[in-house]
Amino acid sequence: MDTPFLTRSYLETLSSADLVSLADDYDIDIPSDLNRRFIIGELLDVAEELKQNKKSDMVISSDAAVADEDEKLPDTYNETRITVLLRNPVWAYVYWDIKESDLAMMKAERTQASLSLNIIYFDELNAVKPSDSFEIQIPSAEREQYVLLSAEKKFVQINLNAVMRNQSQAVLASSRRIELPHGCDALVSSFPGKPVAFSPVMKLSGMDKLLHLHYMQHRQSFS
Amino acid sequence: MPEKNIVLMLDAHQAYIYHPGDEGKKYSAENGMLFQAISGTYIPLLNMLSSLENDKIQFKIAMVFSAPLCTLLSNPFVQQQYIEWLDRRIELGHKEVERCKDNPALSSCVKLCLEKAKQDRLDFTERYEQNLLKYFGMFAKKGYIELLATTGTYVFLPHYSDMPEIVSAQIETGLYAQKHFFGTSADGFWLPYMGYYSGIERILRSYGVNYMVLDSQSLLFSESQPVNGLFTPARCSNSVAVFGRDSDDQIASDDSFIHNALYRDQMHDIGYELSADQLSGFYEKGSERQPTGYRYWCRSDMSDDEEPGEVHDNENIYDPEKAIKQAESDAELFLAKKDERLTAASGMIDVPDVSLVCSYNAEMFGQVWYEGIYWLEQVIRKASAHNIKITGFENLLDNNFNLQKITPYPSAAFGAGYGEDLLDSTNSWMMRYVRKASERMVELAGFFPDDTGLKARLLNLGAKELMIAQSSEWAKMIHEGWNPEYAEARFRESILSFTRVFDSLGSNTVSTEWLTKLEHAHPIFPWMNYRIFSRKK
Repeated sequence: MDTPFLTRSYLETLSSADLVSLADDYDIDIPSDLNRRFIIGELLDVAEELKQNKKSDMVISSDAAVADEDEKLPDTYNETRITVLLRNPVWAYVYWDIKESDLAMMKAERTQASLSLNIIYFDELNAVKPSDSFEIQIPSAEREQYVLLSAEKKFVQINLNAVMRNQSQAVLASSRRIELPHGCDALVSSFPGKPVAFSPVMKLSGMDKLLHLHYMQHRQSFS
Repeated sequence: MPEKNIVLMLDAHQAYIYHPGDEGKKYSAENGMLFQAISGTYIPLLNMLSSLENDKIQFKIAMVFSAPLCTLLSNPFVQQQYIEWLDRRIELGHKEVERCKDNPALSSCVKLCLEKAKQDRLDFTERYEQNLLKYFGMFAKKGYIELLATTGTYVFLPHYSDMPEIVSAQIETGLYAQKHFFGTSADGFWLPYMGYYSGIERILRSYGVNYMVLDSQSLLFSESQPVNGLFTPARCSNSVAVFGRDSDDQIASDDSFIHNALYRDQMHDIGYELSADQLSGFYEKGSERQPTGYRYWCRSDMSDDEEPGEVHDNENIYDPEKAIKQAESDAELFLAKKDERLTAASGMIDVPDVSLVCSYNAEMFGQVWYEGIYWLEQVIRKASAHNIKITGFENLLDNNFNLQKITPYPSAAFGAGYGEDLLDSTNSWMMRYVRKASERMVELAGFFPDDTGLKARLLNLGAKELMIAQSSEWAKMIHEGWNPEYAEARFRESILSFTRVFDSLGSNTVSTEWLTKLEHAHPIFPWMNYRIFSRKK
């Protein structure tokens, strides 16, 4: 379709009916309540697209102008992946997704349909050898888990494993390695009844009260 | 002796709830949240600033206005909706005058509420020309308000600590919003929910941010403890200054003086108590109950045997004079306690200024605590009698390099100190969707760096929808049980819209009707340029 006439000054000269008709020619669906200015804008956008004359020009579709209100969010993005977010310095929220081919592999292995999370600690970001680890068995239908971490560790990585029939494990996905925050000593060592010495200005700032409140909210999680 | 200072910081925010026209009736309860904020907080706050200016009081408060709030306040449809809401309130007030005419004590409260609604209408339309932001901006220019910037939507940044492009895009959008709505740049940055994670200062610094405000535990729990406690700012390793919020809060704590029985009970509203017929005209029968602003009782408990709509015992009826006196007394108490600590700190540390930062959600003043604005005014007026300056953050920053370097500890002013309630069993399901969309947006920005026309429109729409979905207000609403169905639907709609953008670009097919409709449905961030999500090269 020839487009050199699709300029704003030309379009402004057309009647509204002609604009709608022109939009129709270009398969642009215009809601009935839109005014001239928007129709002209739509036409100019189409002109711009056509001018680009790229292979990747978009096809204007007239389908489903209104989103389906019952449309649901997808159950899966069909990828095998695990993500770890720190809910606070000692609690992690872990969620994962498993792609169809991995699910099929697990099914073929006739596993007990079980998964496990392997929580692995490291002393350095790029360390090869873990400093410690532990495992959590997960029912296969689960897709998320809260995990209590050790406040004294430095880095954590969590692997999603498939537990095979012979009890061996296959790593399906690994999270990024996360540095665990470390605060002052009092945060991990103080608890009610155990006085901790602070400078007068720290006391005046409310350190005692804050530590007490922190303990009441988190109990031994940080110790 | 060091100068004594208090920084009063107000966080003014509103979830992006925008339903104009006929749709506004369906969502009148959700829309009403903003209208209550305008009447309860923003108009009284402007009136307070005018009054202090007229009396030549020297002060400066710090404020942050979120982009969603500014977008709504500056929208003509929303302004008109607010006026109509006030008209319905005034009409309801006249009915209430008639209903309560035989009870003089109650009647006087009804008239007070009615007069307030009428005055709000006059102030909004005549005095402030329906443009509250313009007047807040004027007070900022005059030096009475120090404006801080914040993110584009109220996103809890620690949830994206591994996605620097997302954090950058939110910061960049927020900084631009500040310029767009107020015409000025901000030196300081407000982290939504005060959500801090280690390293965010590097991104903030790259945008020229000079300081941020953190919860007290970020400073006090730092491995390198701040030698001056919370009484002076410190700095991060890259010299972004950090102020710690005072942990000794007399307002937000459970034993706060705002719970005084003389103060008005803000939860005890006729909108929840009268029959649907008695409320007709204000809300549609069968729709969700919502507050009307007609509240006649003080915080004393209503006895169990009272029926809704019943005229209550006069002992529980709100007495504005007593409440005002109480607010004056509480302002004095607040200052006396701060003065005591500031004076003690002055004797302990050798610095030119000692300060305490008191930060609050703006909704606390006028909405949660009806007398809050009056209390705030009294604090500002009475501060000089204690030799305390009510000042801004910038006035306390001379040279960042003179500040002690610390490594702030993660914290948030929400949940149990780390924002936990934004990632609990009620709302954690949202993360897999919004983070996936976030990743996709970064990919799209890289894949279409120079596109124009329909593709650029699609990408900009996707960027806006993503930012709306990233707002942690939806997770907060779900956690708190305040219209959780609405919050979930709103989040789902934005994620689905983003997904449709993603699919459209993938299939190279677009419905222009859908695109145009959605562009008009969400007029937030009209300046959006999707390239802000690009990976920094």
